Amino acid sequence: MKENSEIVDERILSLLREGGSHAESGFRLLMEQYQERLYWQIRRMVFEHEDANDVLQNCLVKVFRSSHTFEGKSKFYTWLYRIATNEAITFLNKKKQTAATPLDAGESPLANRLRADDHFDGDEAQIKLLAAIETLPDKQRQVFNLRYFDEMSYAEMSELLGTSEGALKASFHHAVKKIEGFVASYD
Amino acid sequence: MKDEIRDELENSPFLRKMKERQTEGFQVPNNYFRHLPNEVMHKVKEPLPAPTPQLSWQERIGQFFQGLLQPGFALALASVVVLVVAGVIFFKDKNTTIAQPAVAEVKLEDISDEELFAYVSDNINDYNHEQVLEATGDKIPELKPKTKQPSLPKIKAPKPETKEIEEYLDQSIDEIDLEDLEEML
Repeated sequence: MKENSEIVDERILSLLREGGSHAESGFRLLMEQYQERLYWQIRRMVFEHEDANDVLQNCLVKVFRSSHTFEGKSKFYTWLYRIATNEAITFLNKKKQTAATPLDAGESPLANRLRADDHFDGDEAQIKLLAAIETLPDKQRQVFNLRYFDEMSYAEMSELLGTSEGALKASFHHAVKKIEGFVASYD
Repeated sequence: MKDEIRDELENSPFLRKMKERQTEGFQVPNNYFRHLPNEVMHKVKEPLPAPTPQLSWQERIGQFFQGLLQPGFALALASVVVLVVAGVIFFKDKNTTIAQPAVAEVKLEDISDEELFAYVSDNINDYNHEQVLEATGDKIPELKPKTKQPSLPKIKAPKPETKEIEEYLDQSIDEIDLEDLEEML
């Protein structure tokens, strides 16, 4: 028996394939179903709302324009998630290339940005955690976020990221150790 | 928090403590998710930028000549042409000015002996003594020894007086044969 999410996915894809006003209805249904989930995946990677908004909008436009290329070999959300993370990584790489070197090497530039961000009201411990997550390599950061914040099972993560469960467990273990090390040296 | 995740965070008190919190500190603007679909639909409906067409070589040549007719490029090209033409005219005039006027050829046979003698007398200062003596077959005696003999006492060669040299030269000129003079000239 099909899950409710699978039925919705089929409906979305069917409307998108019909084109015209049906495609628009299908796309609105897609956004209603997945926009928040995708937003938080992206936000945990890029940290700031303005950046997350830009990346998410670009991602959704790409999804609409390339929906005909979805072959159904994976779950629909897996396909959406991959487009979103690719967009976020591309965005982060561009940002790294244009970012100025911080004058104060001791403090994370992200910490200062978060303190000045109107859409962040976390305390110093939360800033410390996010600064630690920022130091992780892209793939390790994805694994950590999915496990720690979304509490996703390794089986689901394996399908989503196309990586073996063993490798994912090891990756999460290393991420936790790195974060603890960062936090210990942060104060 | 799931038990298995709690176990994985066993050695990380900081992450375990942070996991107990309900918020990550992130916020979104009011009604953000309500307005987002309309914003995205607006973007989706924007026309895609037209792909740049691949031009054939004939079209590229045509485009090049069309480019030449653009006001900015045409003005620059005209300036270059004017500068080149002006340069050619300027240097042509300069070459004409520098060019030496044609000299009428005069044969030596047409010059009388008196004229030759007068010329040589007038321009005798243009020749050094050695040239004159070479022309007559004599040589000026060397005034300084070429090599020094350290063991021998230094003997200075007598310095001929200017008057003596002039007399010698006058005498030599008198002895110059006209044929030798012709050779010299």
